[in-house]
Amino acid sequence: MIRVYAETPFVLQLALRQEHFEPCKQLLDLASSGTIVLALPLVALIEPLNTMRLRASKRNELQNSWSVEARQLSRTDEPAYRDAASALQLALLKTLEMANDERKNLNHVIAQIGSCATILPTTVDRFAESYIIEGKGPTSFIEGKGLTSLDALGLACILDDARTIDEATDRALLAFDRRAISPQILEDLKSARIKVFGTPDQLAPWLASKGVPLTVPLTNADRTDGS
Amino acid sequence: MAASGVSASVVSAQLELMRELAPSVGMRYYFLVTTDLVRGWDVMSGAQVFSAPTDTLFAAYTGNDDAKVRGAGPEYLAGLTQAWLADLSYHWQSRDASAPGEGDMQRGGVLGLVRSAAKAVTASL
Repeated sequence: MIRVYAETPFVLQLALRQEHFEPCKQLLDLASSGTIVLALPLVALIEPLNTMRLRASKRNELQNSWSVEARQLSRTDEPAYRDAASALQLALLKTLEMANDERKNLNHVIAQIGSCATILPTTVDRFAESYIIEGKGPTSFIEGKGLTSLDALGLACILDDARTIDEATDRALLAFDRRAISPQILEDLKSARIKVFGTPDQLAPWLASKGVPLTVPLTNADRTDGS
Repeated sequence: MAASGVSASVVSAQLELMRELAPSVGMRYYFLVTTDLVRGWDVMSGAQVFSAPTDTLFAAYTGNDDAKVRGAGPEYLAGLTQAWLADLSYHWQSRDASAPGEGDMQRGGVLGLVRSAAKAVTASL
């Protein structure tokens, strides 16, 4: 059996239809068909809700200032000003519509994952281990990126789960935020026999070697890199 | 704002609450926007001053896509309402024509206040 672990970014990839949406959807389908076991810490389903709320909050600030600006522009009786006021209002509506869709997509994705993946609960022991893991995280944070407490909690759940499953199970972790995994944490994952892959195209050959196909289409970033 | 239809008892309880709050917050009108109806009341008299189907009223702001209104969460409904109020104020969408519901808002005595108000406050039930 193959067990693929995933974290919060996997959920966001699916909910926001980001660059790795297609292979993530395939992993979900492979889990649905019982070809692989997809396992996510419970925190990976909770964290995106908070991420969405923060995004909405930031957008609200922007929308409020656009709203005030549109009203100001409309006070000048010139076509260019009225056009600009309309454009701002349209942009406002479009961002609200996107936020509405994102929330619906997230709810849908969480329900989908809940129905076909193994959800790893947070226990007191896992919570305690997360403190140790957080201490092993990268020391230099680049632009706020790094190992957060929630990342550490997710990893603690994954490590603990990996220690308890059947020895014969092949294990992989799809860790989109590879920078959050320090060499020390990588050692812990290795000792739990978990192979770490940063993107689905890195995971695909490993899965293929186990007889599981994962088709990875070129992303926009890949196309740019290749040109 | 409420994403789905609300019962008559919830509506009357909301109105009662708004009547109690109105003096302290300077509220003159209360509008309840759900995915099926947009309704407005004069808070002090309790008289209904406005009612229109939500999908029709907001059609100009959703590209005539009824599904957007049916699937709207409270925040999107609030955004649509603000867009409508802005259209009533300065015709950003309707341009030289009347904004949706403008005649009814005028007859209900609300339009003048919408145009002169610094802002409309939206909140979810």
